[in-house]
Amino acid sequence: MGEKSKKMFDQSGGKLLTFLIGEQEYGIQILEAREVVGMMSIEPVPQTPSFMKGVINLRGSIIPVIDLRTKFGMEKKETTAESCIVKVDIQGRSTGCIVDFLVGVVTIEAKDFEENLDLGANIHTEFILGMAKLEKRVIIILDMERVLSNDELLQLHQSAS
Amino acid sequence: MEAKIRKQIEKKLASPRKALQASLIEADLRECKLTNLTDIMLPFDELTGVFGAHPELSEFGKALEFCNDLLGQIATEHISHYTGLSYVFTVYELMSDQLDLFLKGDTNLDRFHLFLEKVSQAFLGVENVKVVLASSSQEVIQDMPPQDLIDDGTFSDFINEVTDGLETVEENILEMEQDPSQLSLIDLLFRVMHTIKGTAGFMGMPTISKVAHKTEDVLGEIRDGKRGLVPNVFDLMFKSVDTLKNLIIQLTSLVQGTEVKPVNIGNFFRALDVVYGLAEPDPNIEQPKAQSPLSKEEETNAAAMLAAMEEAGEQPGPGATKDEPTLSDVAKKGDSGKGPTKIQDMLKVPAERLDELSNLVGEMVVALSLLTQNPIMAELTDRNVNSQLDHLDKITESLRDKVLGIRMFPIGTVFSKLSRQVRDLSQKSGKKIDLQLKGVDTLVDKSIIDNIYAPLMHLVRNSIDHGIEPPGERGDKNEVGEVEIKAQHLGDAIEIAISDDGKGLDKERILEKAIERGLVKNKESLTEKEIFGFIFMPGFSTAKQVTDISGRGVGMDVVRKTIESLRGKIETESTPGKGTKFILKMPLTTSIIEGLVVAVGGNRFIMPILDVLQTITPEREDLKGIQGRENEFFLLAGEMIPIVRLYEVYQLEPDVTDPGQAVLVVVNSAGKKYGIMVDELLHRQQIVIQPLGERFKRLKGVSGGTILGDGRVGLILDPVSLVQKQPIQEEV
Repeated sequence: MGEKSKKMFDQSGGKLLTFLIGEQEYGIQILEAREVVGMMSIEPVPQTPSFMKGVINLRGSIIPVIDLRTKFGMEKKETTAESCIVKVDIQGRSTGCIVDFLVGVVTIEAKDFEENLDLGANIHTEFILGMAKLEKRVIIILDMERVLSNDELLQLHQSAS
Repeated sequence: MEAKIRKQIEKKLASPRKALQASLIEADLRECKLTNLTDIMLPFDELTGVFGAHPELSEFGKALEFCNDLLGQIATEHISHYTGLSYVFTVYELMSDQLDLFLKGDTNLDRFHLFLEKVSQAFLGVENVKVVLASSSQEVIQDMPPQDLIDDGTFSDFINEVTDGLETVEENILEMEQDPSQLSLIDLLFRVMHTIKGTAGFMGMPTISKVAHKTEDVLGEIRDGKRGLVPNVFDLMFKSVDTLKNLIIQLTSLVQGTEVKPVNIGNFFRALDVVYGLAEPDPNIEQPKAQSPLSKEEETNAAAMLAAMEEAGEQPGPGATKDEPTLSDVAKKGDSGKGPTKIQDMLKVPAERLDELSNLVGEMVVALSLLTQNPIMAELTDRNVNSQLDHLDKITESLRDKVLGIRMFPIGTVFSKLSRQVRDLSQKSGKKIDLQLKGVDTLVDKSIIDNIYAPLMHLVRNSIDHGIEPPGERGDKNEVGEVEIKAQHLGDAIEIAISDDGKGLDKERILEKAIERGLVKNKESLTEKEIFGFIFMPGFSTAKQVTDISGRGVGMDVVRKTIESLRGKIETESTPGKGTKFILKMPLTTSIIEGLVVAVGGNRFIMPILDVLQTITPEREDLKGIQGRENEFFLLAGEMIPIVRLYEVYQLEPDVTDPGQAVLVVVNSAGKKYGIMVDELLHRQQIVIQPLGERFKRLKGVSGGTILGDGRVGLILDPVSLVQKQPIQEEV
C-alpha cells in the first residue's frame, strides 16, 4: 500500500467524506475536509482555467473554488439546490470544491481498498488514490493533493492565458 | 648601516610617508567623503619601491605587502572596509614606529618580525570569524602574545588594564542605560575601548583589538551624534564587554596552559550587525539580558526612580533646579524605555496577530461605513442615535489609527543603513559623495521598512555609479556629488525621492537600447517618463562598462517589482547635466485603502483611489478611432488617451460597449494616461485588501480581493499593470 493510502488508514482511520459527481460516488479523507457549505455566490476571476469557478467569501476569508466536474473533464452542468462546496485544506491552503451531492461519512477497511487501478485511457487516474468497494457501492478515493496541486493550476493557467 | 645612508633613506621616505599618513587619516575619519582606495595604494607602492632598493628594509617591505594585499581584498570586497582598514592601520602604525626607531639606529627587527607573523596569522583568523558567524559555533581564538611580552610582565599588565577598563565600561553602560542624557560617559567608554584596541593590536592580539575597534566605532558615532542610544547599542555594549572578558579569560588560560574555554564571538558580531541594521535583532536576546547580573540592578533602579518621584512630588513647581529631578525628568527616564527595568513592559507578539487585528479593524471600519451609508440610517431623525453613531464612528477611526500606528516605524532606520553603504560605494567608485537624508522621522508601515532597503540601495547605487560624474568631469558643479534621499507624507501615501546632481539619464541611449531589444517600435509616441521607465525592465542596462557596483542590468527590475508589491510606483525625472530623480510613491499602509467600486456586466472591481486621476463619460466628438477601429482614443484637455476596455481584457459580457455611454476611469501608468472603460461607477468605499494567494499570482492587473458590503468578493485592480502592453509583459 502506498504511503498516502497508508496515511488514510493511520490518520483518518479509514474515514471518508463521500459525495457524488454525476452518478459516481467519490471520497476524500475525512481529515482533509474542513467543512461543507451550501452553494453561495461565486465571484468569477478572469484569466483563470475553466475549472476555476472563482472566489467566495467564507466568513471573511476569500477562498478559491474549483469545479471538480470540469476538472475531471466531465460535461458541464448547472449547480442545483443539492450542490455544495466542500472546503478542503491541503498544505495550509484552503480550496472549495463544488460537488453535486453530499453523501456522508463512511469508514472503509483495508480489505475493501484497492489501489493502482487501471481504468482505461479515458479516466484521469492521476487524481485517484484508489477504490473502495462496500457491498453495492464503489467509491473512488481522490488524492486531493494531486487534484489541487498548485503547479498544475499555474500551468493550466499559463496555457489558458 | 651607516648613519649617512639612513639619512638618505629617511629623506626618500619622507614624502610618500606623509602622503600615506594623510590618506590613512582621511580614511579613518569614516566620513562619506572618502578618498579613493587608490589614493592610499599609490603612496604604498612608492614606499615599497624605496624599501625594495634597500635589502635591509625587506622586513618593512613585507609589512607593506601585507597592507597592500589587505587593500586589494577590500577593493575586491573579500573583506569589509572596517575589518580591512583596521588591520592596515595597526600594521602601518607599528611599521611606522619601528621605521623611526630603525632610522635612528635600532636595527633589531626580531620583535617586529614576530608581530608581522602574528598579524598575518590573526588575519587568517578573520576569515575564521566568518565561519564562526555562520555556524555560530564557539571558537578558540589563537591570539597568543609574543613570549617576550609574557616574560617581561607586559602581558599581565595588559590583562589587568583591560579587566579594570572593562569594569569601568560596564558600570558606565548601566548608568547610561538609566539616564541616556549622560552622553559625557561615552567619551570615557570610547577612551577605554581605544586603549584596549591599541594595546591589543600592538601586542599582536587582533581579535581583541578588533572587537574593541568595532565597539569604538559605534561609540564614536554616538559621540558624534550620528547614532542614538537605542537598545541595540546597549545590547552591543554588553556583548562587547562579555566577549572581551571571555577573550581575556581564554587568553590567560592559553598563556598559563590551563584548560581553554571556547568563546562565542559570533554573538558580538551579530549584535554589531543588528546595530548597523544588517541583521534582525535576535528575539532571544532579551532573555539572557534579563537574567544577566543587571537584573540585580533593577531593584536599585526602581528604588531610585521611586525616590526621585517622591522628591519631585515634594518639590514641584518652577523652583526646581537641575539637580533636583522634576516630574518631567522622571517621566523622560520612564519614556526612554531602554533600561532593563522597562524590558518587562515591552510585549512581544507575533506579527501575524497584529495583522489579524488590523484586518479585523479594517473590516470593522468597512462594516461601519456600510451601516452609516445605509439609506435607512439617513432617514433616522433620532438625535440620540445619530450622536451615538457619530461617537462610534470616532472611536472606530481612532482605533484604526492606533492599530495601524503599531505597525509604523520611522524610515530613518532604513536610511542609516544606506549611509553606511554610500560611504563604501563612494570609496569604491572614487567619487566624493555628500549624502543628505531628509524626513528620517517619517513613519511608514513595517512592510515598507522590511522591503524598501534593497530597492533604495539599488537606486542609490545607480545614482552614484551612473549619475554622479567622476571627479574632474563635474564641470562647474561642486566636486562633491550630492545624493539626497527624502521621505515625506503625501496624504495617505508616502513619497521617497532619491535625487542626484549627476549627469542625468541619456534619453537617446535608453531609447536606442529599447528599440534594439524590441521593447518599442514607434518611438515618437513615447513620453519622457515612459522612456525612463525602460530602465526598470529586466536585463536592461545602458552602461557601457559593467563596474564593480552596477551596470549589469539586474536590480532595476527588482526595484520596480518590490515597489509594485508594496502597491507603489516609480517615476523618473531627469535633466541632462543636472541630475536624476527617482520618486517612489507608496500607500502608507498596505492593508486598508480607499477604493472606487466599478461594475462591468455582473462583475464588480475595485480601483484604488490613489491610482485614479478622474472619471469621465466622454462627449461623442471627443472619441477618435484608429486603423479602422472606432473609438480607440478620447480627447481629454487636448491629450489623446487610449481606451482600455476592461471587458475585452478580461473577456466579460458588459452592459455597455459604447464608450460614449460608459465611464472611463483615467489612470496614470509610466507617465502616460489611459482610460479604463467600465459600465458604471457604484460607490467609494474603504476596503481591506486580502491577498488572493499563490493560485492567482500570475493574474494580470489584479492585486488582491476584498469583501464588499453585500458579503460578496470583489477583485482589486491594479490599473498600472492592467494597461501595460503585452509585449512588455511577455518580455518578462
